[in-house]
Amino acid sequence: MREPGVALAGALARDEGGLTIVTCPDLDLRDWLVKEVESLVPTGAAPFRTTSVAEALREPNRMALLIPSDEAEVVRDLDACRDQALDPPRTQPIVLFLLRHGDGHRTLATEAPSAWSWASGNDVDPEELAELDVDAERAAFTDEAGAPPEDWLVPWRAGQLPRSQENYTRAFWAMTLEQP
Amino acid sequence: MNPWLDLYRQHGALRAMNDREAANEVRRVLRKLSEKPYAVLRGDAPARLVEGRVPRSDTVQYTLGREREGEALELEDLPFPLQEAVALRSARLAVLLRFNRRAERLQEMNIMLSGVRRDASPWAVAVHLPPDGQDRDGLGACGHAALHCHIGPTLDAKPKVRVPFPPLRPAQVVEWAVSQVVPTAEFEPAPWPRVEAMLQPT
Amino acid sequence: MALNWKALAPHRPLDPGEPGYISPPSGYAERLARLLATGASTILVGGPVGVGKSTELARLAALLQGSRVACLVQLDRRENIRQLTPDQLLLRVAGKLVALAIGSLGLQVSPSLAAPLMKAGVLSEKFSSGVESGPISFTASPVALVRAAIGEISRRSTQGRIALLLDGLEKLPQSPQSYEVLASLGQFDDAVDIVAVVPWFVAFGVAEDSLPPGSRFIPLPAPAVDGPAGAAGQQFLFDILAGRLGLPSESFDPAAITGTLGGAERAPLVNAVTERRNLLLAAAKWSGGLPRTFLQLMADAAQYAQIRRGDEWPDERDLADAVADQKDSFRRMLLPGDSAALQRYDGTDGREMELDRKIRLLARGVLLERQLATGYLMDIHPLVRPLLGDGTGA
Repeated sequence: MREPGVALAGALARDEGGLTIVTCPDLDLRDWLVKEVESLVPTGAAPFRTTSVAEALREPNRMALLIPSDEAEVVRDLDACRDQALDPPRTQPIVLFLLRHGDGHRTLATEAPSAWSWASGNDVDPEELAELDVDAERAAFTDEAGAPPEDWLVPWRAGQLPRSQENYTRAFWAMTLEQP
Repeated sequence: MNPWLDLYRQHGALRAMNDREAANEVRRVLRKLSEKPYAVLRGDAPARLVEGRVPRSDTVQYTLGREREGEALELEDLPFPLQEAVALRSARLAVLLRFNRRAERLQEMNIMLSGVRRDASPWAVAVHLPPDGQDRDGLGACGHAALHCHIGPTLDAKPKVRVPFPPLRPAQVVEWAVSQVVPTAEFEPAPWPRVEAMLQPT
Repeated sequence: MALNWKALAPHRPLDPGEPGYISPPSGYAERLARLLATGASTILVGGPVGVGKSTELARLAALLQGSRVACLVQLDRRENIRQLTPDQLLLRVAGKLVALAIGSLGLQVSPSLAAPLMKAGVLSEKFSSGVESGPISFTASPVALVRAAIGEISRRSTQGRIALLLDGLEKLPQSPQSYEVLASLGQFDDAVDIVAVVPWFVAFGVAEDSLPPGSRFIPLPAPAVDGPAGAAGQQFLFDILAGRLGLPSESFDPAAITGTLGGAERAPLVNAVTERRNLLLAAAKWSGGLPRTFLQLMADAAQYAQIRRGDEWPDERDLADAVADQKDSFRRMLLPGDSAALQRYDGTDGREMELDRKIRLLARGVLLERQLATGYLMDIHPLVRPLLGDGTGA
């Protein structure tokens, strides 16, 4: 299972000067994901926000957070201009924020093979990755603790289990998985 | 009694927060702690704050490390003068946060730093905000404040000290915990000169 | 010394003469050089994204240098190809040709040729030193300028003949303006060889009327990496990786561990190299033979290892997650009807497949053309095969 932050940070770091796509479920979450990227990247990346491919290309040594106002046009432009990122070589990636089922992804699928190829494996949907596989987690908990989360929590809440760090952590895990 | 009641109210009010905002604040602290020249966490630490959302529910958790195991502080990699200030041989930071996303509410906070002193004895500090609705443990709001801090060789060693903790957000709690282990200017988020400067009337 | 995984740069093709070139099993660039030597004058290059077209074109430029003025024009590094007009193409070629003549061949060019190119912004002022003094007033159409450049440089150069290697035209959208751009390839002098990377739609007769007569479309195949025929393709990918990481090519070959090591010292080393090789073999198979995909998989896996554990080399879980990332990219790219079409035409020559779909899937490497003794057959990319029929709606 991929951790969303690791997948995102890996995508940002994989290709020096490459293209990363961050997929957003909606426009409000897009704003949050922009902030998340800003909080993840090293200070030296000097990220800046822009809506234009040309502006992103003009700053090869800063991480360009490309937040399109017209996703399809931006993807077409990236497809047609992406090799301009090679000369002079970029040292920081362009990070493109696209809606999950939006025009940008549709344009990548239908018109923009070059941009798609550059970003292949580097298009992350952190919200999707954040979803826990509860069945697998519960099985792992039961295997490790010897009881399902609800059963384990009964003596914990009654103060019958030692207040050790290990048990505090286990209680936290159990409460996340606890079913009503 | 009123001051304890006020503190309990403040702890309740602290719970009102957006999980993404709180997580980004923690990431920024982790980034600072993992960047040279005074890195005490391995690089890319912000990426290892793992978000986990329970499907079809409002519950979302953030843990440092996918297995909630936290991160070892790289004390031996600190520059020599800083190493001298550190009383621990090893230490591990764990961050466990759970929120109700829709209600924008911190349900539980558990930030722990455990380690081994140079004489090989254990040492731990842990800041706990118990689950929402289950924060009236012990006998009262003084002896067992909702947001409290354990300090001792282990969390359950007697006497079980529970220091009432001011209503600080998760990022600040992380900053505080690390500042206790590496008590140097490099890890002090609010150095007195800056505080004094900000206290000057404008 | 720590491995520099950033050096993999999966998105970066090699430039002409840059060290680290590895010849694919098809010997593509050498084959094109032979074709040109035996009289072919217009070759159209095609292939899926990431197969190495730009690198092969750069290699061809290096191979041709002795016999021709080999002018590689990387159009997509200067122009937005969507908006490229025939005049811009001609001017870019003229500008690059003059820059090559002055900068690399040490030739002088006439001021009447250089001045309008500088004015048009396709020749840098830094080449002024290679411009003869004299009258500079001259106005001409782009086609006249490019022909003047070809004439002057072929006359002054020792090679005599010019080969224009045009990279980036594969990004042309399917539109009337693109057909005009392709038609402008016929505007160069007959004494010029042209090798141009073109979009996939050219391979299927779309825009055929626009192309110079006698043009040959020669696709660059992804090498086989699976089965008994896959050994050469695997080694090709391993060598690219080793080269970019700055490692000797035998780094991933346990049989190469010899010398004076005793059994007890040798065994763990052999085990470690065998594990690495197995990981690379898995990545090679998942890549379908596309060098870019292979490098992306390894770079992605290496990032997982680095961020998770601070490890220098990825493990199986890291690679599995890199594979999952790539599958996600392919999944998002599939459109309704693709799954059924892929399953229907898998293993056939694909001639009955709807043309637009075929072009789209071939361009992205979702479908790979495999050459057999009896012809071509369509092979679904290994990263796509597990996605078919999984309820994604594709």
